[in-house]
Amino acid sequence: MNQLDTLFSMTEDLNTNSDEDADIVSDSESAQSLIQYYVEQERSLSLQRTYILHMSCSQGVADKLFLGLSNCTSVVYDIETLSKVACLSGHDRTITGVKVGAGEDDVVFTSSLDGTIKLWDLRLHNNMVREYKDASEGDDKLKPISSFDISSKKTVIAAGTELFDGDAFMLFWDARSTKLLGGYWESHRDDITHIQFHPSKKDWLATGSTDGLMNVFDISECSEDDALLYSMNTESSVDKLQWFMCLNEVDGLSCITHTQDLQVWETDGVIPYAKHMQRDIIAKVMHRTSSDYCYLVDFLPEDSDDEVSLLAGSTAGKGECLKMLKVQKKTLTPVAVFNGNKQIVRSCCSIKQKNLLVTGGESGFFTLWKSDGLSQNISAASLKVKTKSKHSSVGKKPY
Amino acid sequence: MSSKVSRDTLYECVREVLRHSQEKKRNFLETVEIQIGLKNYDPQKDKRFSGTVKLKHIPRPKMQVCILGDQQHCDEAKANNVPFMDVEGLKKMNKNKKLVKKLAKKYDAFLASEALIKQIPRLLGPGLNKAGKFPGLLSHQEGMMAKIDEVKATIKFQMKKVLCLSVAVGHVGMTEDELVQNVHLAINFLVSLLKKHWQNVRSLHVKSTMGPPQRLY
Repeated sequence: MNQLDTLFSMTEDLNTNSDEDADIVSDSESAQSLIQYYVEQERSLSLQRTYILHMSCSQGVADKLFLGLSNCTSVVYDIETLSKVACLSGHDRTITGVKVGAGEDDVVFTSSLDGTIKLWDLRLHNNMVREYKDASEGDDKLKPISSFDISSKKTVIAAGTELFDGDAFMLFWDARSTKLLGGYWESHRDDITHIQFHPSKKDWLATGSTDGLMNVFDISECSEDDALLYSMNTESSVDKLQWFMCLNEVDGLSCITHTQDLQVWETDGVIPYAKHMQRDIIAKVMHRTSSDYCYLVDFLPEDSDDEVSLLAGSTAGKGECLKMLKVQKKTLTPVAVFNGNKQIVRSCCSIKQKNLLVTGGESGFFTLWKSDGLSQNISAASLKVKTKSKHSSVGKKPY
Repeated sequence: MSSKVSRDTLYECVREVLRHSQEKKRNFLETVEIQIGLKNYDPQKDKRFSGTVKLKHIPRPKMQVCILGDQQHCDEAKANNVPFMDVEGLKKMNKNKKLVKKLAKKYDAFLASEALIKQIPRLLGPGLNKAGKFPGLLSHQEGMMAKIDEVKATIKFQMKKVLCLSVAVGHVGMTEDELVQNVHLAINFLVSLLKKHWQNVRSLHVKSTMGPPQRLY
């Protein structure tokens, strides 16, 4: 009976009282140990509650920002002036991915649940230039595309689909001709939520699904059976994944689950690289009192080997809490805090050449962040000690 | 301020579900599930509601887990009457799709030793993947029986297009307390994932497979 009493008293935590979740560490303390990001610029899309779900910016020229919105359109902004330069409409269902074209700033790919990937050229009055789809079962039976990526040599476009007539597909097209090169449908049992080419091994591809698996393929092989190299069972549901390099040049895959956990795996041995980090651990590292409000946004590109960076926030209040976390030496530590955030963040993008970080979210605006240039040499050890001495046991669940 | 479910309401509800199942006994063990109806949630824009949660008490007692083990794990499985297969047994299947499919159908879940798990795609092809039965990792750091119980106690949930979710949390052979604990844990967990917590919940029901739904919230 005692156990049940505790279980029931914990229900109190679930009242939507945002005072329940707060930062444990004071602002001044965090200022000493965390990198501070400040709002450089902010732009609102419109008065409607459109979410900014996807974001892309070329790493070369970097003068345009491409945003995928929840209203089936994409918009393009000039990064210097923050003026809108284009609005790309044509998809009739939710946009699931936005990627700027090969090294150029005028070309962008967008994918959608409407079953198409569209290539747009801004120089041609924003017209759709090319379309990629699998119309093998008819133009009215297109497979809903939930994620896509472009190979490093820009010759192949790969996409993952949602469950369609009982199968979850991976589709491949020749980027130039839009010819459908083939597909896989045996390796996942449910919606494929993320697909990402390996940064250097040009034929390697990773996929994640709500079936809990992360698969790695070598698409130079002739059949799907031979192409499937590794399968990792997260025993959860994969939202996003990212390739990273572990120590000793071993490949790794990090993953964010739909239950707001973080996992890092070593692909070769198909074993966890670090202990799985559940939502309550993430809340501790974020210095928050309650894990019920913590959410993970997305990964950021890695700065160096053996490092995984991601953004995490809290939905408490208006979603003001936003932090950057890093897995370094297999330990998760807080690295930066974003001052002046005003929304639940859903997409992010790093523009290294301009030293900017951009976030977009559920209140329909995007923010350009700049850091105060604090030293990056923060020792993980010193931060961990702070966490241990400050963490309270409020909000702990006795599961 | 939104309401929460009181302990009395929860007990009453579970009691009713059990009572109905006693009154009209079926010739199979009825599952008990919770049905959660959402509101103020847009599946086109809001984060996907999908994942797994480990319950306190095993909801599916008949669940069969098979160990794909190294020598040590196979010995332990044998000693504990747990079905198992070693690497030789897997090699003998010769990547035959029919055999792999048959294996997948025979068991509800699989666990594989570290040494074996990376070989599964090579040895069996994507058959287990397709069946949704790719093994979970069984390391030597944790106890095998504990991991098996963990697998048996873990349930999956996923909301697709409709704003309603059904999750199996137990069966009618469980005690009131056990059911209450499982229902409570599952609800707490699911609600904690919603952006606005209880403000995203329109309704909650508990029901047994053949019984009428009992309103909880």
